[in-house]
Amino acid sequence: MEAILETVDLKKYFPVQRGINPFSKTRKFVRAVDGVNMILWKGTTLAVVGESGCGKTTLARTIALLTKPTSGDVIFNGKSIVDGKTDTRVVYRDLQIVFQDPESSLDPNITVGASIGEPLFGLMKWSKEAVDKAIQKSLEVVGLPHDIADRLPSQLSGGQKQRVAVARAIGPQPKLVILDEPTSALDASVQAQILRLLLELQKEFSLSYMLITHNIAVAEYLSDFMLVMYSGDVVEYGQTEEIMAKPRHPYTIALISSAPIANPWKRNLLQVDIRGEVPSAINPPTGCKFHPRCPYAESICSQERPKLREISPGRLVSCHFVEKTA
Amino acid sequence: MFRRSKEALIGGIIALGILLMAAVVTVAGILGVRITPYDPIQQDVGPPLAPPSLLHLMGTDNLGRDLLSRIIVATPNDVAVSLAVVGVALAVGAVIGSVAAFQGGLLDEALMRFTDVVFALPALVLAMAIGVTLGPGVTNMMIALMIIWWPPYTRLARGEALRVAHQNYIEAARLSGMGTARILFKHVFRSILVTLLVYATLDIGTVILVYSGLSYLGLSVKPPQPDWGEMVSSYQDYLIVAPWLPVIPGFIIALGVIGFSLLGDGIRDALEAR
Amino acid sequence: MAQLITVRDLTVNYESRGGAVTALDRVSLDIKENELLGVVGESGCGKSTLALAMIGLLPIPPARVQNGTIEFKGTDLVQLGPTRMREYRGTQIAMIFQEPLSSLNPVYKIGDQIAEAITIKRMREDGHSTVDSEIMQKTHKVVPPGVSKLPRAKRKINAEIKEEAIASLKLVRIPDPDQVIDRYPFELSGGMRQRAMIAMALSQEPVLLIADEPTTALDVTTQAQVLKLMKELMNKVKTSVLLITHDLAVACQVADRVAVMYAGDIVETSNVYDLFSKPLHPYTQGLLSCLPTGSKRKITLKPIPGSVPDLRTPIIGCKYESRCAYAMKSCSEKKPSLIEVEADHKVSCYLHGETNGSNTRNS
Repeated sequence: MEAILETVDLKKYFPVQRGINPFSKTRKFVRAVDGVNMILWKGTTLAVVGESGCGKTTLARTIALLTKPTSGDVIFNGKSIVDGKTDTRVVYRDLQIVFQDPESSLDPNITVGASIGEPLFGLMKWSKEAVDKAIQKSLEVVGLPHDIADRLPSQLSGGQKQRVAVARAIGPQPKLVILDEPTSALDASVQAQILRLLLELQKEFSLSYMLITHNIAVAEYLSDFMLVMYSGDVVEYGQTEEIMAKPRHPYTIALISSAPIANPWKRNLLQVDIRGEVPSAINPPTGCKFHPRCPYAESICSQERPKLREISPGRLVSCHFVEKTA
Repeated sequence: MFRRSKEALIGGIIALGILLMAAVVTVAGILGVRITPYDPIQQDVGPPLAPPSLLHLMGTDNLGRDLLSRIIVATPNDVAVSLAVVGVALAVGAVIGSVAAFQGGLLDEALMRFTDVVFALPALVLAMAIGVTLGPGVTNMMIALMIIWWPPYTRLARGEALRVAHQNYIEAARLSGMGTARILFKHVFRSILVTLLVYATLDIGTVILVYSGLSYLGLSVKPPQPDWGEMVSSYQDYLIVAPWLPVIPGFIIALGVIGFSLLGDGIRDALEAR
Repeated sequence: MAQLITVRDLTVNYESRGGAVTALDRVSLDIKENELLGVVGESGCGKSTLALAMIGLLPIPPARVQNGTIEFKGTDLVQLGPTRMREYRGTQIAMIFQEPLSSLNPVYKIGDQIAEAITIKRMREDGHSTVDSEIMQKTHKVVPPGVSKLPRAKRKINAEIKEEAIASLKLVRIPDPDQVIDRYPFELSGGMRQRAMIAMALSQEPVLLIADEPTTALDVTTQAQVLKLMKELMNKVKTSVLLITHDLAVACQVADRVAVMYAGDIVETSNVYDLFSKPLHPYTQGLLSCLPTGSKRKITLKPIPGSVPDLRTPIIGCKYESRCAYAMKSCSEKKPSLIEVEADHKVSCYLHGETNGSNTRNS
């Protein structure tokens, strides 16, 4: 399999300002992404799952060059794109994002068609006629009527707006689409429509997806591979079906068992045994960041940060005592 | 919009009337046509200090000049100054505010502290100082006011721009290959324009008032050119014997301020209701 | 189990600029003692309106209770004015909301807010009316009126109330409760704030707790903790819970019975097991089959075609008709009533046990 995206020890730290002096030497950082190694295979969907503060959104934005990494490398289409010499316009022809909130992903003052056409004008250097045709085709592909191009976003429903966001992202015919919580703001029935649309588009245009979500059910449905993040670190990676069947990292176990199953005979929620809260991103626990909440923690866990290890082919876990969850 | 607010309708009519008058007078001036009943600077077109009558609808002043003609001809001064000052303040404020919001960091701090400094300076005193330096005149007063009028617009623009900056569609614009300047023009300005315009319409009245104050102090026109504020100043001695002389120009100033303020209120209410 | 609260034919309209919207259209449901009823529906179905109506917090205007009764312990809550409703609200019927940051007062410490709730309970037990709490709120001193003003007596009462507040925080498993007492809401995480809200609500020992999307804004693991806590406390304190949620999976996990709402109607109510194994209403069936419950290789999602109707145009007949695969002629003529088709399983659909005009069962 060929990799379309790779990150090597990617870090993104945000400096925290103390007080009102803008010139003060800031020594504290929010370690949003704290050394992430990941790989996305071409034509597959990788779900990056985690809760608030885990860094998944920052990871996506750093990969998409919306923010500069503190250190580390992002390799897209075989080339490093963070060397400072890459023209972002070339990257964006192959890398696009569908954002979470349909309310804020479209400019309320311009028509839907203009929004869809924006990346085409900015990236493709096509004539106006070519762009107009492409807009019509994109609308068709996402199942929207042609005349919707002249409407303002306020005249559309949430589901329709999200389809427009998808149409805008696939217009430049990208290879990789980052889906940032694409259905979190939608009702269940609309969510199903969008998920089905995303699957169809993936097949039709051979897309690779990076799905950022906190919704385990959506991640399980849509993805082939899963990357579990906690407080800026990758704690587990592997094939989705394998992880869902047998999660190995203690946090993954807690996360998956907390996801409500729509089945009253499988009341997993009431069996969940997790304590504590997500740690501070400025002052994370020493050693393994999960150790204060981990039922298997021992003294080494508070001293040494575990590394990602391959425990079986294609399955990586970052834990000192992963054998305890076998 | 006017359905909801009678005040806005009245304000709109007054404001429109004044604007129209200013336009007509300006055009007439360019064409060299006289549209007023009498020559505004011609003395002794009637008996001096005559009260309003059918011949002279607003009476005459101490030099026998027709007041109505003077009032009409003075209209473009106030209008031009207020529109120009507010227009420039809006443009400058929009640019500085959104650049500060988008660039953030040190540039943001520097721009906003500079704005604060200009804001802290007393408007009238500064205008007077500039007036003394540049010399009196309508244009010079306009420049003086332009120099100090923009800070509130910057604050307003920056606040709105900050709100817009975090919207996903701005990031989507970056993913479309657009640079910061283009994003500002295409997305940010449109979004902040509404807020700024509402404030601007309310502000026109204030500029009229301040400019009239400056011209009352003798800093704008040179006699015998007529100007509303200047008229209040030079006629104030006749308050007892010929009250129409200072009162009518003062009333016209107030009318202008009220008209534009009501219009601004109406626009704001209409847009907020949406 | 006895009936705790019975809603019959409740109709609530909202006046909006586009016209009047019927948010609740002749809604009927029951909540029994010591049960958790989950009300499930998508946005705009009226579930939040139902919750607000039951606790008397509807914004009137623009809302208006057109019709219907809410019977609680022999009294019709709809007929009560705002003053009398205060006797019930917070004391017998409590409510927690989705966003705890906006339901907790940001300028008072957590301890003070819980103590206020406890004080009101003590006052009620002592026979004072809750209107007296206004005086207390003005001075914000946690001493019920009538208690001696002697410093020693005040301190004793304060100490007792403080102990109770700490105990209630312990009950909701907040760590270090004696420190949390002195913290402000913004210093706590979302999960802790929601627990504090539950502590406040339960300190009154209400018989009904209405929870409007209490975990929607929380992380998945925090949601599991809070829901588990609610279930445990329910049994300890003998409260019933009305849980409003858009997430059918959450309802499956904690509810005893479920009511499904669509566009202002209740379309099906049943115990949670029958709802899942034998969903009768086409909308319930549609909802269940559009939930992702496994890998894309194993299951096919079947989205419901169409979208929720615009409630500003009044609809004659069944509101789901335009999206229903089984729509018949009767469906567009008259709305089917909610009928008990099996034991404790009601549905509002002409496919099941309702013929146009009569109540005979179909086979």
